[in-house]
Amino acid sequence: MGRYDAVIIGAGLAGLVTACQLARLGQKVLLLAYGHGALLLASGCIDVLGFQPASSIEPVTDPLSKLADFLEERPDHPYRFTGRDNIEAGLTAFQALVQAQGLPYLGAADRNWLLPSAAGAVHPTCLAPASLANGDLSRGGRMLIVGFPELRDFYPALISQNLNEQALGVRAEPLLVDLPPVPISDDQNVLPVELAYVFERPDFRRQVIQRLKGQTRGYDRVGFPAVLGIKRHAEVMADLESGLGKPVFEISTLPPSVPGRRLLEALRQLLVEADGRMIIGAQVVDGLIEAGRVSQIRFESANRPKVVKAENYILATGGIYGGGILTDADGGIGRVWEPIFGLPVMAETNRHRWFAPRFLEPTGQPFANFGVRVNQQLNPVDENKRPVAENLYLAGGVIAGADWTRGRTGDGVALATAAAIVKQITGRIYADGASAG
Amino acid sequence: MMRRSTEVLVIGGGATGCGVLYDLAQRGFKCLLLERGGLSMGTSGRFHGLLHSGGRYVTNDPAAARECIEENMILRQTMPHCIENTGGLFVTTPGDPPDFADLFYRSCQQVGIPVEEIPVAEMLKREPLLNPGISRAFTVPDATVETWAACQSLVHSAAAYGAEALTYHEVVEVLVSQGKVTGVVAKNRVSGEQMTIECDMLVSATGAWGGQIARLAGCDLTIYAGKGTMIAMNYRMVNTVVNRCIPPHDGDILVPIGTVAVIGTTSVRVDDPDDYAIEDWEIKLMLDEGEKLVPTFKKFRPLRAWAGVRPLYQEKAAGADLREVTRAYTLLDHLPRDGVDNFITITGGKWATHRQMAERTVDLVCQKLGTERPCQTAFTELLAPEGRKFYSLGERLRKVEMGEWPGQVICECELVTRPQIEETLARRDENIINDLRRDLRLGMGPCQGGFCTYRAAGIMHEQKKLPARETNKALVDFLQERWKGSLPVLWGQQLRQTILDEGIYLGLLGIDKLPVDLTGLNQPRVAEVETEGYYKVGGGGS
Amino acid sequence: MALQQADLDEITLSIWKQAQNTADLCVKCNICTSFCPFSNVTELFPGPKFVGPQAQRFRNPHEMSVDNSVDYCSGCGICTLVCPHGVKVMEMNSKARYKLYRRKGIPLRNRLLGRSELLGMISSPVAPVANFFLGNRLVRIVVEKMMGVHRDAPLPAFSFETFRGWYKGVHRKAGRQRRADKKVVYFHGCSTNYYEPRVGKAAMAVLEHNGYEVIVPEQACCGLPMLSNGEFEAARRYANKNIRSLVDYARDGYIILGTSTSCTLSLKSDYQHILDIDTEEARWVSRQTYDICEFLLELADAGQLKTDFKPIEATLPYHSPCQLKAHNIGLPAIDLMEMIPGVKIKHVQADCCGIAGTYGYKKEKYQISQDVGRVVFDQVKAANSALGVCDSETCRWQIRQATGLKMIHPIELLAQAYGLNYR
Repeated sequence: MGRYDAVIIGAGLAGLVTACQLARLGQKVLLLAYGHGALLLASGCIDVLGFQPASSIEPVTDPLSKLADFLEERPDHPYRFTGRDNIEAGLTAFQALVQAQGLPYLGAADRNWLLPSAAGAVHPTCLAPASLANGDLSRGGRMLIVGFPELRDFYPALISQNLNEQALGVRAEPLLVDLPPVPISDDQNVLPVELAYVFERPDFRRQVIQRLKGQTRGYDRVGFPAVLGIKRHAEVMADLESGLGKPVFEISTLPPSVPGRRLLEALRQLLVEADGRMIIGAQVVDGLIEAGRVSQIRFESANRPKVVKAENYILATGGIYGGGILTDADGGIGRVWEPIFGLPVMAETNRHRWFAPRFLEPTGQPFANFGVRVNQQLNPVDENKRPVAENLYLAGGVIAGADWTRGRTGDGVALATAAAIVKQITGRIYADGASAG
Repeated sequence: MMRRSTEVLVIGGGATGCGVLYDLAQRGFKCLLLERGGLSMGTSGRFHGLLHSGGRYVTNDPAAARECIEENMILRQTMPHCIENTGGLFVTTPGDPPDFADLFYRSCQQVGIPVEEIPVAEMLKREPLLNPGISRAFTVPDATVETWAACQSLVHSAAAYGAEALTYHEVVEVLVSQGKVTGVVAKNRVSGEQMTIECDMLVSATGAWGGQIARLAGCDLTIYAGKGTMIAMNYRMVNTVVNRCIPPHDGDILVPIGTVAVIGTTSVRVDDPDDYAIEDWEIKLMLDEGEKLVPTFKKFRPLRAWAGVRPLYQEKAAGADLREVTRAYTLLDHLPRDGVDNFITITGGKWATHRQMAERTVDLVCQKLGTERPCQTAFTELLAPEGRKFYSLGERLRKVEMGEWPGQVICECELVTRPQIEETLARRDENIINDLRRDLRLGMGPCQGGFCTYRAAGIMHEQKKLPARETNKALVDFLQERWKGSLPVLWGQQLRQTILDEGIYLGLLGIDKLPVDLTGLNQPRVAEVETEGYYKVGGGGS
Repeated sequence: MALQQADLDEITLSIWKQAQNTADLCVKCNICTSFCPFSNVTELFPGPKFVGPQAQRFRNPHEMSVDNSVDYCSGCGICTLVCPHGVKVMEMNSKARYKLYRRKGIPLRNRLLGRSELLGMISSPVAPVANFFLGNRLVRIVVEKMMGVHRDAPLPAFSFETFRGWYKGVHRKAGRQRRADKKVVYFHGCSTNYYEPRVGKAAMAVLEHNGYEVIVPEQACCGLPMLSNGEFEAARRYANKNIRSLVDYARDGYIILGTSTSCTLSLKSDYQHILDIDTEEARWVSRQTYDICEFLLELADAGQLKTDFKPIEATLPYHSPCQLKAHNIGLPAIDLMEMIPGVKIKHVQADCCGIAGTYGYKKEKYQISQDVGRVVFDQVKAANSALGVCDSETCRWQIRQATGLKMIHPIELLAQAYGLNYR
């Protein structure tokens, strides 16, 4: 007998969204995670398919239309198991979830935004929060990119020049503006998140607007590093837009990501409101599989492991970065394993085959594909394609072939696998407060 | 083509070359140094940083050991700001020949190296991570040296006497006329321009590359390159240099240098000092040996591996084991040897004896030029703008905390500030982030440039008003360089770190899609990954 | 004597864990800093990554401490919880603070604040007088000027009757239950003993209602206040006293219960990971320690908890202390309280109320503490309830001071629901 219907391991995008959806559909869920990870390190957008082929520098504008080509080049990618339907369902469900929390994500499955990166490259992404989507390059026009010398994680001159060099239909110009005194931080070493909290103070904003007055003439929109508030983000945006009289957009910069943090807070709040339980900092040490089913998992508390039992278990621990797949080596022999259930991992033992010679190898690094194979139900399978446990589901980067860097597919994988799993378990997908099939 | 002239031209910007320049300048010679890369880019910048007490050589090469201890004492006076006074330990681990310790002790005393045996319990108090199974421990005055700081200091002090050093200048031709060297042709590797430099005397302090330079002058010189591989471990697990008390052996030293600990080294002959590989067995061996000193060694995180090439010269070549080739240095006057006048090669030796090597070299220069000028480098202090005390580990942190190093911290791992970066960039023409790394330690911490590379590129772009493409190139170049060095030890936590860095540069910043011009100096050298055995990583140069 | 390989592995693994406190694992992502409630309200604290795994690389154990900013770390432990790589940031900072105070010397104020047991022993017998003086504004201003304890800091009132006094007196006279099989040990801690004996009385009542005999052994202050002020030697003395006192019970299989999430965290974890008391005895005590709600919830899940609760129609704000989060046991108090018909718990969405043990009492840190806690105070006030719930004593005092709301321990709600007269 268990207190929980479902236990989700891992609080990345995949884990959180799965937990939120199951909770919304009436399940009693427990989310266990060893810290907060990748969600806070990325742009805060939902990348579905950015570049096809991966080596291309031309961004994909319609991700779904390129899906077939993509899967031909990467037959082992998790999109094969989720299928197109779950990608679309996952995106819709996600949009409904965040909309309910006052953090709407704009976009649709058949179109990519083309957003500027903090290096001035093009970041093709499918769903983006409004503040980031406002920077869509296909809109053209003149953009003013504002930076602050106190913020060491953002360089408007480099961004502008790189944007202009690529002939994208926009004309970007940089402007460095000194910040008013930052009350909560050493003036020089402000973290984006700290600055975001400070921007929530109206008098601080007022002074910033004052310093920008008159300098935004002639520009169609004004871009900032993504520091425009966390919980009161909407208020900050509205204030700046009315104060400057121009549309305002944000550009995600170095971790910890502010848009990522907003998303995390929204999803956490969702889970709390749906009566889900979350323990952050608890490391899951092992899981027991008996007669083709997971019977329990154990996690570390401050002094002793605790047992949790549930109907279903979702492993969303991420790939190698997430700690869901561990690596070690002795000389040239590499070892790759999944630490909780000991699931069979698709990987190389010859460590030399883990890497490509170039850091920026266009087709990607071999290790990025290490992970656990799944079947159509997203259960983990062994070498003979038999499911290892029928009540265990894998979501996100822990799945083999989920290289999220090169194709820019990571978020799509998270949402699509989440949708597929939720449908498997409940027969429904959460959308709009009512259930939709 | 531009023409310059000088009295003495020195080739080679390692410790020896810089030491020669300084000594020449101090003795009143007009002199100029050419280095094909950055200062201390060759062997001097690729060793473990150990300032020997000589203890490693007492039993098999007492002459070299004596040189070491003498110079060790001198350098502590002349360049304390480049030296961390860590002290050293020689320890007998389980499985080591127990009687060697007594031989070691006696030999130290004979050579004149201050040595003291301490109880193992005391050793463990001092270094709690060392193997509690160690049976004997001795202290010696080992220390560690910040090689780049030292080379900079030497050149800076030489400049006070009017000398000059030109980096990224490669000698492409040596001009010989009637059996005398009259000058060189050098190529500026950044601009591509060539220049002729006339000189009265040419000194080659090019270490393992000495043979290449000598051949340009028509002299037949073979210098063996002995590759030594090292691993930097992320955590500074010891604060004293720890040596195994055994005859010299691979992987028998653990050196705390800056914020890391370096385990080294191996000794493998390679044919080309610019082209060699780091091999799996070397990595495995060093980690295994490290485990004998620190029993949980393999649980710690290796950051990167690299190799340097020792110049090993002996008139008659020894057998297969390169360690038999003497480590004492060799000063060659090419007139009696090869019939070429005005040309000297100084080679061999070790970092600890660079000053003495320079002294002997400049003595020979004096002799050949028919002038008598005494050497004073042993009793004069190098210029030390930040003060004359020993380097200490906590100094950077203290300075940042106390506000003595104001400004933004750009490299958080190594506490490098924006004013420091701007000042270093202002002194240079080349826009190479790797130089910032060498000068300031930017990118040398656990994240290996994950955060600071982007910031440094942004600062460089702003300060030097570079075209975006060039900034992109500098960024890509540096990341590739970091990647290259990490491959031999990339697994576990460091692999997670690297994936985070990948996530930042590709996923977030998208630099793999930026326009980059990869021709020219900064083209990343592609590491060829063999399926068996080793990583070819290339050698010195850029 | 040659060490056996097995001894070597045990020792070296333990040393490795102690020695680095996992600084080696840090990937510099700054997630810890972004969640730190304290660095996000003050420029005096550069953040847990900076003073933790980053500064650690520059600390030579043989040299004096070179950095002061670690003193502004509150020890709330959120950093350790959010780190995805397992860096024990808070533990590292605690040790660095210890080293800092070795150099600076520990000010008298910190020593006094660290000695809650001593303060209690002295003041409790004269509680009415002590409370009168400490309630006097002028006295508080003088205390602030002389001792550096902020005039508005939420000092609790001393209780004339201590918990132990009641236990040995009134409670014994009432006749303790003696059950051979169902016995637990109660670690009351200084706060229950000297300030809020009612919490201990409620705990005893609930446990006895469920058929347990509660043993209250000799015990000392858990040592956490000293630990968090860098007084490790003194903290270790107290820790060892407690371990000696409790280990036999632990070995015999008794559960050791606590009603203070700070005390229980010390027993569970801080003794080993911060004070480096990594003995077998310490591990026994650690393993057997439970937070009281954690224990009762396990009973409930096993169907062994009495559920004869009278309904209480109330929506109550509950704050989970940062120290509770560090237990990694979830929110057993909420699950427990919601077993009472009519009770709905509004969980305050915030990481720390700001008091952080003795941190918020200090003059130079008081405002920081209030700024950190604002997010808690606002939510508690917005709940519009007659009372609030929290399992940590210092949090209760902080929240009550800032909001005026009466604050109780979850066990008190249970006692009330059971209809037990525990006051």
